[in-house]
Amino acid sequence: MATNLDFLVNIVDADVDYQITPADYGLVDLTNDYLIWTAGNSIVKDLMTHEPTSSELSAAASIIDEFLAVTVSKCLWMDYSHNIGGTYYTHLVKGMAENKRYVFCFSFDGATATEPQLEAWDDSNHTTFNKNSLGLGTANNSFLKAVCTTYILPGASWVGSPIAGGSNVLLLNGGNGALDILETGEISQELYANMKMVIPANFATPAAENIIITIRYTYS
Amino acid sequence: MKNLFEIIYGDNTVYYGNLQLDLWSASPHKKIKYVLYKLPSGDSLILSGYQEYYHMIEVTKDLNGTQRGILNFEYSYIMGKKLNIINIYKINLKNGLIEFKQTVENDKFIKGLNLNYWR
Repeated sequence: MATNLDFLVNIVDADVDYQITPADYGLVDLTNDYLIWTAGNSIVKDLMTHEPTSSELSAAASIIDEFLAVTVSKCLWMDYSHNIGGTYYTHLVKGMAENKRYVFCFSFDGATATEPQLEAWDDSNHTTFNKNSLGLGTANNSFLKAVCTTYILPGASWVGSPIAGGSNVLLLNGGNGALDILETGEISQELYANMKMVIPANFATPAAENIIITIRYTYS
Repeated sequence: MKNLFEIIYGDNTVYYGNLQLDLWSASPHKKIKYVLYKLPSGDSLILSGYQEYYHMIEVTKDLNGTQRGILNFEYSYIMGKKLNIINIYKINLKNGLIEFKQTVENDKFIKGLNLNYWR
């Protein structure tokens, strides 16, 4: 069978590896769930009991600062099935933008032929990156910053690499290449990253945008 | 599932491979006579005379957006190695276009491959 990828987010303790405590992670149902990058407010927050509406999300958007770059303060996992820990639709992704390793988790159930990588695009065609948040075609200006944390902490005040298009990508195995065949008894192997959205100071175009974050990998 | 490639061995046995179930990685380690690769256009690409062969599928999985969660088949690669020269055929699985590249064994891309899948 082809190697499969599951995407998980840490919702309990971002110092804990998935293999050690899988219960700290939420499996993102990629058919129904999604991530929300938001400043948050009294309505749009951790443990919401309904799916946030567009107007609620707009009211909780980050405010562009005239002089300073703004890191979007929260990433919420919108859990459509709302069946973890109660009837909660949103869970705060723990450790996002912080000096934490185990935040966004990519779990593979087998080997890969090359090193998996994280990319960002305008849409699912994966051909352009012209949205504001992806740098308007200049990948180095992408708001999305990411760092591979599979082997190490990202460091205090980590900057991360701007992610956009086919050149500005993040290798998820720290440049160590393809994933090997699973050891006997293993059912998955995990790679980790931390990501954040950083809005440049005095950015001229306020917008609500959906960008596509994708994982590219190979199998043989 | 439709066959994507056939490996014809020196002993005239054949391994039939496809995109997701009968994978290249499950093919026997035997002397290969040639590899017949079925292109999206319906034509075939035949590689023969190499010392070793390699095949892989490149996919993407979107974490958000309308196509999220769907395994998106982007490219397949079929490669042949002779001495330290490697010929790479990169096949776009959506439009059938083929890119050809010739490189050497210590090329970064080649060195990053999982070595278990050379046949």
